[in-house]
Amino acid sequence: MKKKVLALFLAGMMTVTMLAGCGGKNEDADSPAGTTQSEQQEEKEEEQLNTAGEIMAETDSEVEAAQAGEVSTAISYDVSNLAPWSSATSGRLSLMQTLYEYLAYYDSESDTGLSGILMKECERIDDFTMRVTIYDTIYDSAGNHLTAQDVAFCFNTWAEMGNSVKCKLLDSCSVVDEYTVDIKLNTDSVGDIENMMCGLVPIVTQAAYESSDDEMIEHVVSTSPYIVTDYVEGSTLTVEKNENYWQKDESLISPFSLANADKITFHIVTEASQVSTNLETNVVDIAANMSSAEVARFEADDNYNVFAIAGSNFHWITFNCSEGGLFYNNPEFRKAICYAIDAGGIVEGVFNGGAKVSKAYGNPECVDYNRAWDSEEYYEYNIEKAKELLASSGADTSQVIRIMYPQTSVNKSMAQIIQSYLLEIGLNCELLGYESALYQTYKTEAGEWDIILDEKQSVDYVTSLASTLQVSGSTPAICLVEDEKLQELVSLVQSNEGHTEENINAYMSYIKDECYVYAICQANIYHVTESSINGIVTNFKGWLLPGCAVYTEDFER
Amino acid sequence: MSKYVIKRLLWMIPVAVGVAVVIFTILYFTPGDPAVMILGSSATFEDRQALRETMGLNDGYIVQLLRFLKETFIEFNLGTSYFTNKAVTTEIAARLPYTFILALGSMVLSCVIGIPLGITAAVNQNKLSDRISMLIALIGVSMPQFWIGLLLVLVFSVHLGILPPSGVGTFRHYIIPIIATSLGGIATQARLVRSSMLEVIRSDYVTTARAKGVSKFTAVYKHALPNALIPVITQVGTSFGKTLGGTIVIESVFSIPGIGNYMISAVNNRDYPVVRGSVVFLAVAFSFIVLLVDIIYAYVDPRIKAQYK
Repeated sequence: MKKKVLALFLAGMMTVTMLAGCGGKNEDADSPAGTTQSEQQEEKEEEQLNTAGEIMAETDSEVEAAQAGEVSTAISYDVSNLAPWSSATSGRLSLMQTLYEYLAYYDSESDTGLSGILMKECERIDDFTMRVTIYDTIYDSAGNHLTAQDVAFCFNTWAEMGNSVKCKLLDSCSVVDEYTVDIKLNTDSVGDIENMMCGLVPIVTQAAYESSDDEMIEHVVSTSPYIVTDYVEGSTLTVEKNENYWQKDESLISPFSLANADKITFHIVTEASQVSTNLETNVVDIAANMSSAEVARFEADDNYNVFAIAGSNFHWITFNCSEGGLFYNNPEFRKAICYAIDAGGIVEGVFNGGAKVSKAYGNPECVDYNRAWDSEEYYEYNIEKAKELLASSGADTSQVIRIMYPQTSVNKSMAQIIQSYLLEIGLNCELLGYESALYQTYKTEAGEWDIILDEKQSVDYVTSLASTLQVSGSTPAICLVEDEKLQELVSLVQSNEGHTEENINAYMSYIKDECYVYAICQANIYHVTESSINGIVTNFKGWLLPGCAVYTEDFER
Repeated sequence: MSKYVIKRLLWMIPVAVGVAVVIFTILYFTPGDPAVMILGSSATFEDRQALRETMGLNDGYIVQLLRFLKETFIEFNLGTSYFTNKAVTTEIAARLPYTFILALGSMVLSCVIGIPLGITAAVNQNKLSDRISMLIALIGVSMPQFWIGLLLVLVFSVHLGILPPSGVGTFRHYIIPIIATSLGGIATQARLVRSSMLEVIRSDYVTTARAKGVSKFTAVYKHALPNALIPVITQVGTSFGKTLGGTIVIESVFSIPGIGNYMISAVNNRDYPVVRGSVVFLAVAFSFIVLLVDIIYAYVDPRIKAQYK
């Protein structure tokens, strides 16, 4: 059942999202005379809700699709390396599902919660093991036949390379017969086999990989419906449709393996304002992952379609609860901070309304998210209560609170707003924005910060985020707390056996009672296209797949 | 002269080694761990340590430094990127042409516009054309490159639709970045040429030439200008060298996959081999450019040439 609901969510994430502008027309221009500001706001909120509903409604509608010729897409991240199992950067992740195929994808229609891309069928043997059988007709673009031996090679090589923290979870991938493998984990961990099959381990043939002179860093040979034809590092990547794609039965082609365009050119445009300029000047037809600040000007323009997708990344703060830290053994002080922060204000001020206020430490779309949490009290903005809690906490308010965050424009804006909120209850803050490498180093050092502001992705289970609160070896919990009860709960909910509603509620209640971490909001992801592109497909992590988009007859480059 | 050139070439060795030691030391003591960047924030301390061990990052400072110097200056190997697994020399070779076009175009444009502007200002000192020239120079030196670049994009790409806003496919892609990069150079050249020309045209030999009936044009362009341009040569050379490694913002704004873009992402990712290799390469390239400037200097100024004999 659990898997089924997970599949429902993940399938929803990758669903073809049909035409629907997300913001509508300019409110001010269309507002009737005499309408109050609050009335306008209510109308605006209603329209946004309706629009979100329309997206889902039109998802099921029939759209006359056409094969597109050449399509250009702007991506916001540098790619640097096309190899299948290198470390995961945003640029690589945005292209992986176009360049390679995975064993499976999450599917609500399937009993196992998975449907095959390369996989024909699968069977869970136990909490540690999944048996996977692949199609016997798979060939890569160089003509190499893909067998179970290749799948085992991919999983085991991926694990050996160790470029992901999940690598160490794989015990082995062993060949059962010519087209069947057993994927076995060395620990009881919820959702990790599925995660490897659907998003962590791209599959290639051993022959192609070993004959590659650059380990496919630039010269990709895969089973994907697209072949890399040109790559200018840091600038463009061009792929063309593989006319000899192995899956001949159209009914069995996965939604991620469609090739609705003959040729796709990805333009790497890292400067946010230039992404929208490229779209406006017709250099590109699709702008993936456009920043919320840039989206506004396309929403009111009929020449473009704006697709808003509920993001799986959400923003949170945590407190330095280490001994000697400002927040050590003082949950009231921590709660006072949370009550002083107006999450709704942050949503409006930072994301122009393109985000959702969080009600728990996890993505509401996750399978194990309990809808009852939405109606529970979750540090709703209450300045008086914040002041009361602050007074009763006995905290030294003369100390400057250091808020540390990875240096991005969003984090910086959020930190500035939080700084002003905390000033209202008499707390002074110092903002410490660091570039990523420095931030990662400092976040485990108790002397460097008092509050961390960060974002984290949550795509399958809310309990996957429990790892941030887990003490693992010498690595402390994100809030630097030593709390045995917390560790027990974290270990419990991360196992298949302990992953029950009761335990998850207990875990979530405990971190809320102790206020170790406070989830603020979940930002939307925006993809903007020309109006002649009627629908888009994203994978379960929200990355756009231009080859699977729905092009109309009007589309032309 | 050849003796001087050889001497200068030999001097480059300690310069390059010195730069290598300095950049290695700075990176060694800079906080930030490449293992974290590779494994992600969820990696445990033990995972990071294991990866650091395999990358040789747990060795002591001296061991790592000597290994780096040996690889760089004895084996002529700048290393391999932690993230792309590509040889740094290969990456630099692939990216250098983009930066080179940008730097060369910017240098040419600076000279073509800046020098006449400076001459006009000097010859018409305190007149309207002088004021206008210096105003242009002031504006050019005051405006940030990325800002003027984005303005140019708005005008020529968005409104007029005649130039692409970013990318590198054709020469047209470089026009806006080159203009944006060269504005500061134009201003500097104009001001330098003006002050240099003012000094030269007041010299006795120019006055003598004019007294002997030489036309103003000839006096300015044949007699005064060559001498006035001597300090400009130095400025052009050094600014070209700086542009090779210093167009990070422009490359980033216009999505040009040059060395600056490459280095900035390497710094952010703590990709040590890339940062070290690129800096050493740029130091050597800069040394060559300065040497070239000095040689040109000697040829245009007989006084300096005489010193080399």
